[in-house]
Amino acid sequence: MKRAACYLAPPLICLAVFWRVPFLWFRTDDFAWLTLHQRVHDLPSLARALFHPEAQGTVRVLSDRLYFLILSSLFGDWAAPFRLCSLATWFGALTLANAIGFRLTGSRLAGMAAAILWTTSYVIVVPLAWAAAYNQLLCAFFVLAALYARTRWLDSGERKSLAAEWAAYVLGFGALEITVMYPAAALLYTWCVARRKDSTVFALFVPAAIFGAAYFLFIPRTPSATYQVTADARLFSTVIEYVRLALAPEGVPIRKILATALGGFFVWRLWRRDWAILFGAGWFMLFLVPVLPLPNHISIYYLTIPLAGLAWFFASGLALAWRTNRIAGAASTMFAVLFLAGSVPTINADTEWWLEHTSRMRLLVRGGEEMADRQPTSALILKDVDNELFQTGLQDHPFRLAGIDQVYLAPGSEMGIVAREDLGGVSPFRISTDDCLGLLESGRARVLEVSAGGPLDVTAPYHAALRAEFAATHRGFVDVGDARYASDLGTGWYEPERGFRWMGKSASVELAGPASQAERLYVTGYGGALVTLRFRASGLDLGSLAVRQMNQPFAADFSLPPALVGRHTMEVSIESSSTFRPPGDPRDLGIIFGTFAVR
Amino acid sequence: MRRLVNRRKALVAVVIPAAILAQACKRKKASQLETVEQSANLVSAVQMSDPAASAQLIRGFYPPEASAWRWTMQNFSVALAPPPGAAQKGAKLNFKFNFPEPIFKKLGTLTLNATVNGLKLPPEMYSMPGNYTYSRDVPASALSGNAAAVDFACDKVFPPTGDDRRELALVAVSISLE
Repeated sequence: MKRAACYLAPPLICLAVFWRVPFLWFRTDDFAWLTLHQRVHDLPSLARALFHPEAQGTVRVLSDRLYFLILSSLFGDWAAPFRLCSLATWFGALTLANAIGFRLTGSRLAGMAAAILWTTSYVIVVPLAWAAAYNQLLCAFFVLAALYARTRWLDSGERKSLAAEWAAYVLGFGALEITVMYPAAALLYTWCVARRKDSTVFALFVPAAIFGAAYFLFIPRTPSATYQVTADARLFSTVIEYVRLALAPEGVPIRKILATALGGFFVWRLWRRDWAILFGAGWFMLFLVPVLPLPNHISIYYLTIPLAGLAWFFASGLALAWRTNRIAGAASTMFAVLFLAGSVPTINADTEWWLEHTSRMRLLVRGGEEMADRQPTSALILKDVDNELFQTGLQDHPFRLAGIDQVYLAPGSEMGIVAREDLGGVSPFRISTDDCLGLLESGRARVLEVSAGGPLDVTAPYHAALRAEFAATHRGFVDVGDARYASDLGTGWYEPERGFRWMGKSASVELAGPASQAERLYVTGYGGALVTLRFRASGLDLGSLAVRQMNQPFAADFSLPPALVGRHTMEVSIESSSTFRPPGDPRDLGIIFGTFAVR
Repeated sequence: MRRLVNRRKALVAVVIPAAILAQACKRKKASQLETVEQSANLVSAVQMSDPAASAQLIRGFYPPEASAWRWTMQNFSVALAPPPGAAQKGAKLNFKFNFPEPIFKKLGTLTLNATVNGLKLPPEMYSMPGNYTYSRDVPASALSGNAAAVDFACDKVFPPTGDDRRELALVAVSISLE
């Protein structure tokens, strides 16, 4: 009963602390992985999806590729199965950490305490909240499973335990590259904790060496300042930074107290030649080694696996203190409480942040999906996207889930947006007002307003607003064949045809009056008929034009009367001397026009 | 052999229902999308607190804050429907805004210019922070269509600072043609 309670407590406490996790949606890199299955059509494309290096040259077949391929194929963009899978894996890792903690300390309560301390660290927020960081959880599970199997092997000598260690260890390479550090951790355990000379541990270095060589020799990496490998004096400062981050969140003033207490305990145990204490600290350092040469990419969630070592180390102190006397036990428990007091409020705040941001993104993407369901569209214009929403994943193309490839921010709204330059910056999301109106006129775009509550389809009013803006900024020019100028056309025009329009007997357009007497009216058209055209502006005669050549373009210009100078608008009317009706066409056609301009 | 067959049966018994369940779990998503249908009918007054009307904010407005107001950039534009009869008798443009003290402290006096459908309106200078209404008569000749593009321009702007990459000018509350 006590044993079951010890194993159940850490997952239950995890659920209590991370209660928001099952309700989180996706963000950033998740969207790139969620569309991975769209690229699988046959065996070669499946092989490419599984094994082609992606994202800084990683090939995490199990934790990235299969995880997303299987779950997104089965459940689409429903996040709950991803969360349940993450939690289940994490509970497995906690159970293994608990069991290993028991073997390290000889106390079930200390083993449980190690698992509780691990799962109540704010470091775990990202791996549990972010599907793209599932690799941390799965790798933790595999390396702990391998270590647990090693403890069984060393205790019992059963070959199946050794086989289990190898199976978990090799699978770990499909989860995360830092599995290469497992052999060193296994060696440390064998020597310092089990105090055994076990030659089987050395064989573990062979796969690590092969994997390491293949990783560095055969996998190309994109040069990136963020992921630049640097081995210099900054390694030391990076270690210090990770130790600081492991002890408590930024701004929580307990780091120095915890660092002094844990450091003092470590020195004291080494002084007493308790070499087993090296294991927890060694595990922490070993699994940090692969990320230390990345001083430009210090990420808190990289501490997920190293932190298990710190938790065992902490739990060893708790066990020893309680065995010594009650005062020492109470003092050590106070340090554990300090750790929780620093971490749990941060977990609460961080998971709240994740819930708020991923929920906004979910609403936005659902809106896009629904819009595409109602009316297939090739482009989406997003209105009122703020910086936070943009950074929740717009650069990772979430709308590909809805089959929409072209996504733009409403013209001008990119101001204030901070975009990742390595993902292309904000440029791919820019569109000019004219191009945006062109997409709307042709029915190839829809507009989604995302600022308040649920998404709003505002295509119709935004289209009307852009038309008004377009008319106001193109007042001295009208292209009658371009639908964007439709609001400048008066009566007498037929529907546009391939960039031009027929007029009937008479027609009119609205243009800005000339700014000075030097400005003239320029017209272009096409000789679809031989007619004489009379031009007037706001009722004043401008002159006439005889179209003398069939099927040839024509152009003309007219001076404008002084009375029109400075007028905000003038109506230019055209009257044709005759019309004709082609066979089978009910329209009375005058002439074809292209453009009118005042300049 | 029988054990193997039983295992297969067990596997089928688990995998097939799981696959069916998974497909069933691709649940029908509840409708979350509302549509604003007013293609031919823009409104004459845009409140920054009204998400439906915000589609008429063409450019230069940041997303709403406190569901009540919006920061503007140096230049900002809105489309408004001229009120009934405006094509004959004109209308009045009203822009309610706040000139925030931090912006005033940084920029000093600020001049606001406006154009309606390209027609320039008289500018106004603001030499103290506070709440204001920029109000101008718009002649009928500028309001002939069924929509008017209103462009505002401030002569100065608070530049981006630190992590905030936005340029900031005024706090807009409402814009209307009456």
